[in-house]
Amino acid sequence: MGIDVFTLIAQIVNFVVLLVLLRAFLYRPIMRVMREREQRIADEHAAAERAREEAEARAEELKREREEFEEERRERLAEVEREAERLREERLAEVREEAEAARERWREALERERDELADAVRGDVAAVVAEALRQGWRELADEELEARAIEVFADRLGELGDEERAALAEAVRDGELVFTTAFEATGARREALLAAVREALLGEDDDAALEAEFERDPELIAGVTLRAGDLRVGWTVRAQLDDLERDWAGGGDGG
Amino acid sequence: MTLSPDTIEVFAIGPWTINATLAFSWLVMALLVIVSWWVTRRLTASGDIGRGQNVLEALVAFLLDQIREVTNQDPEPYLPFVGTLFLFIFTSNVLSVVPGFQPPTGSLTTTAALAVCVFVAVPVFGIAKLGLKEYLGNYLRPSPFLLPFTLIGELSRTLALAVRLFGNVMSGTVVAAILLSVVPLLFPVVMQAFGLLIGVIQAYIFAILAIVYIASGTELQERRARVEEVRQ
Repeated sequence: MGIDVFTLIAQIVNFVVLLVLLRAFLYRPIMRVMREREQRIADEHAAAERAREEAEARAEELKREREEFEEERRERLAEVEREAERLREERLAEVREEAEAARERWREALERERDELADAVRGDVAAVVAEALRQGWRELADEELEARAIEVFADRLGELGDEERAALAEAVRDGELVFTTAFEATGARREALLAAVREALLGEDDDAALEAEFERDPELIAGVTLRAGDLRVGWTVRAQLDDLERDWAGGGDGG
Repeated sequence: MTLSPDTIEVFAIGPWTINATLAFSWLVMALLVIVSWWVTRRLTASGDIGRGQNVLEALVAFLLDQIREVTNQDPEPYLPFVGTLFLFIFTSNVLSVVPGFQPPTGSLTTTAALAVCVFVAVPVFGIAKLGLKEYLGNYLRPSPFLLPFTLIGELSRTLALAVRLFGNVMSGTVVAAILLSVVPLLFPVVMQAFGLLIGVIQAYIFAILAIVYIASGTELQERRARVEEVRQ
């Protein structure tokens, strides 16, 4: 029942040895593993937390992006609508303009056609009337009318402007004169015509000899024309009627 | 009937006589070391752990919790000492139900040796924690006149530690032996089971008392500082 000193010391040594061995084979490895596991769990937790935060941030970002996209889409849509409205207005205006232009063209064409028709009608009427007048005058024309026409011709020569008179006088002096009358010019009438030319163009004092030819053209109806070089002057019923017809036929152009 | 395994001679090496206490101590030690080595040689930090590792981890966690509760300190430095005490006594006491096994803790020499270890460990941990001067100073507080009583207390509690364990374990064995001769059937089995329970409790008590003594050696400083704080 006593204490054996050798066994006591041996047991103390045994205990210390056991302590050292268990420390090496039990406590250290177990503590290490437990710490590693705790660390791993903490790491995983932190990673999960991080992942959660990242996911939240990403979700937030996506939400913002979606909102931005939506906003942009709305703006685009509004812009497109505005553009469409503008295009529609433009198109409408173009169409309106085109319609206006077409109507204008149509109106112009109508007017032109009407004018042409009027011209044609007037020309026909003028021709008919002129022809009727010509016929009438032809029947009325006689020596007396011829004499009256020659008087008018003489008056006409007297009424010429200075330049025309000078040019005509020059032509008369240089070249030969050709008188064309409706009726056969007799000697007295030829003298009268030459006298009228001399009086009107050359003056009383000029006694230059005047060479003249006389032709007859019944188509003139009544009256006389004088051709001197390139110049031509005269008064005939025919010319009057032609003027009349020309005036009527060209009346559509405002003249 | 033998009361102490010290007196059973197993074999002799030269002049040394190896008694049953030493032989069975080695047996227990070998068992503990081999099991530990066997389990810890393939530890894993993953969640999928083996059965043995699970048991050892639970054991270590239990010890750490107990030490932390008593000391209010980081339990890790005390774990090897307190854990070894507990495991050695626990294994010895539990194996006492095996016929022919003489628990080494039933020998006063063994319990005395363990008590001496605790007696030495208290100042070792105290000095490691507080420093030599501060630790020795604790014996003179609150008054140098109390030094003899403090020393007597140190010695007596060591003695009590040794005798308590020895008495409990030996009595279990003795009671079982006596009952076996008086009532050979059934009742000794109940008493053996009872002895098993007592053995486990004694292992726990021994370890807890050891850590309490160690904690008292390392905590004085902090307690004094707290008292002075309150005084101011």
